[in-house]
Amino acid sequence: MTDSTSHHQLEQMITGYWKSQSIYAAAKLGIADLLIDGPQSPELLAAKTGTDAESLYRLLRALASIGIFAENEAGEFALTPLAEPLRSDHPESRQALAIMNGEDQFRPWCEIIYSLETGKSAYEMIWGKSVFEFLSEHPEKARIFDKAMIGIHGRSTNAISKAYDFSEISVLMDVGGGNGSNLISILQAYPHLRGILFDIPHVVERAQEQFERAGLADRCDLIGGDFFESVPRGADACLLRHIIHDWNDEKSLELLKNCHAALPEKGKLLVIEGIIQPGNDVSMGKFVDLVMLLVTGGKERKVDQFRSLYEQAGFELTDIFPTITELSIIEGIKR
Amino acid sequence: MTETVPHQQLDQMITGYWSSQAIYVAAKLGIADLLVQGPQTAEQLAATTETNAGALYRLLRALASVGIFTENKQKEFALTPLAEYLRSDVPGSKRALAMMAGDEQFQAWGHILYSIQTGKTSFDQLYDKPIFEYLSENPEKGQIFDQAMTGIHGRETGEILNAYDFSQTKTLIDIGGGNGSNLISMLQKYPDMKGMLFDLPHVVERTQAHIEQAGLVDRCHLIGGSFFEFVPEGADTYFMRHIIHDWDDEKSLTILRNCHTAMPDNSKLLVVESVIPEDNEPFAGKFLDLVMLLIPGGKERTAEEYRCLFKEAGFEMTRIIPTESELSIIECVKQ
Repeated sequence: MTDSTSHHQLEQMITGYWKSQSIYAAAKLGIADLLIDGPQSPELLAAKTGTDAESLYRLLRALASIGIFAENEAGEFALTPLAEPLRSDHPESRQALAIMNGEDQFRPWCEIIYSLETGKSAYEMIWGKSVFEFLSEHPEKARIFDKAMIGIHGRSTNAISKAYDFSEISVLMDVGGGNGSNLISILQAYPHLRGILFDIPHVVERAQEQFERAGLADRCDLIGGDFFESVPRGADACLLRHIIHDWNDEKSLELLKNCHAALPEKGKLLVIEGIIQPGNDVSMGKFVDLVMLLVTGGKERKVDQFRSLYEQAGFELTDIFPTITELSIIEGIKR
Repeated sequence: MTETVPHQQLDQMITGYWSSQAIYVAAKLGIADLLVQGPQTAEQLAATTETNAGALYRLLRALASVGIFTENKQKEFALTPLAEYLRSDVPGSKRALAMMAGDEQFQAWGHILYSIQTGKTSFDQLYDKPIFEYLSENPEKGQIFDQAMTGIHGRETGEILNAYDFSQTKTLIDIGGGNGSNLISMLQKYPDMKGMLFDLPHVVERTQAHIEQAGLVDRCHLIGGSFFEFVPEGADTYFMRHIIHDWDDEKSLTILRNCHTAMPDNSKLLVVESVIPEDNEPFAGKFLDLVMLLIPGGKERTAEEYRCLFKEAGFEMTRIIPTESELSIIECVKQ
C-alpha cells in the first residue's frame, strides 16, 4: 500500500459518516418510495416531503455520486440498484436500519468518549434508561427497531435451520424470539417440531399475527414474561439469538441460569451469536461489539468467554456450528 | 474485494459512522503518538489516557480489524501505515481532521434533517452561533480547525503551483490565508514574489510565528481584518482558496466586491475551489457541499454558478485551470 492511498483511505473513513447521515436523511424522508412510479424533480420531492428544494437537490446530488439515485437529463432523480433497498417494501429493505442508525443510535456515538472513559453505555447516560426500556416506552421507535433487525438478520434466519440439525429436538423455545420470524423459519423446516416463543408481553402480542399468517398457530405457544425473572418450562431446547450479546456477564449468567432451571436433564442450549476470532482480521462483529458497548452495555465474545459463561451457568459447551453468515450456533448441554 | 450485493453495500455505508467515531476517539486520546516508541498493551494505554482498559481494548481491536493499529501476540498494539497518519507530528497528519470531524461537526450531521428541511445550517441551530464565531471564541478548537485544514489542503499548494504560472506576479495577497502555510510555499517557490496575508486578527496573530520560522518576515506582510468590511490594496494577484465555498451567494458577493474595490486594473483574481461537474459521477466536492450546507452555510458551485457570481461582482471569468486533484483555479479579471 502506498503512502498516498493510506492517507486517502483514512480520510474516507474519517468522513464516512457523511454518507451514513445522507442515507439516513433520504430514508427518513422516504425518497425511494416516492420514486417507485418513476423519476421526479427535486422540487416535487421537496413539496411532498416538506423540505427545502435546493437543499434536497444537493443531498440527492451527493447520494447520486455514490450510486444511490441518479439524476437524468431532465434534472429528475430516479431509483438505482443501490437505492432500491431504501424502499420500505423491498425484501431486503434497509430503510429502517438507516433510520435507526441515523437517530437513536447516532446520539450515543457522539458521546463515545464517555463509554471509553467509564466502560458504560453512553445510551443509558443520555436517556437515563436502557435501550430496551426506552423502546418499550416508544412503540413507534420499537417498530423501526424490529424492522431494522429483520433487515439485518433476515438472511441468518434461513442459515440457522440449514446449519443445525433440529431433528432430535421435540419442543424448541426461542427465548427473546421477538417477532417470531426465526422460530417460524425453523418450524417450517422441521414439521415434527413444536415451538414456544418467549419474549416480553408487548412483543409477544405483535408476534401472534405472524404465526397465524404462517399457519403455525397450533404448533407454537406464545408466552409473555421477563427472562431475568424466569424462563417457562416445557421445551427440551432453548435457543437465544442475539440475546446474550446485549448483556454484560452478570446479566447473561442470570439469563442462562434461568434457562438451565427451565430445561430437563441433557436439555440443549443453543446460543446464536457472532464469535470474535483472535487476530486482526476484518470482522463486522468487532464493530458490533462497540455498538454493544455504547448502546446496550453488552459485548461480543470469543469462544473461551462463551465457554466460561456456559460452565458457570451449568452447561457444557459441546459444539460450535458455523453458518454461511457471520453467526455461529454454540451448542451446550445441561449438566 | 469480494463482490457485494446492493443491500450489503448499503449496510457498509449506513454503519460507516462507526469507523469514523472509533477513529475520532483514538485521535482525541492521542493513541498513535503514544505508540511512536513501540507497542503497548491496552492496560498501559488506558492508564496514560485515563480510560477504561476493557473498553479501550475493544476500541483498538475494532480499529485493528480495519487496518488502523495491529495487535501482536503479547496483546500489545502497534502502529500501521494507516495509524501513522493519526500521529500529530507527521506530514499530512489526519489527527486534527479526525478530531474536528468527530466533534461538533459530527453532532451537526446528527441534525442533517433540519438543514434539508430549512436550508439553514444545523451547526448554528445547535451551537447558537456561526462556526467561525464559535472557533474564535474557542481558541483550542480554532487551532484544531487550522491544523485540520493544513492536513486536508497541505498537498493542494503543490498542485496549484504545478498548474499555474505565478512568474508575472509581483505581490500576491492570500485572502483568508489562515496559518500561512500556503503563502509560505508560494513565496519559497518564487523568490522575487512579495506576499500579503489577510485574515481575522486572532488568526493573523497565530500566523506571525510561522512566517518568522520560515524566515520570510521581510517578504511578507500580515494584515488583520474582516473581508466582509474591506480587502487590502497593494497586490496584483488576489488569491482565495476555499473561501467562497464557505458562504452563500449574498455574502460571497460582498467579499468579491471588496476584492474588486481593492484591485488595480490588470490585476488578477484567483479563486481556488472544487468546481462541481454536472453528472452522477463520484466527486468528493458533492459531499463537501453538504458540509457547507450543514456547517458554515455555504455551497460548492458549478462552473456556470461561478460565472454568474463573478459577473455580478464585476468580474469576467477568463479560465478554469484544473489541477491534478479535484480542485480548480478559477481565473478572473475586472470587467
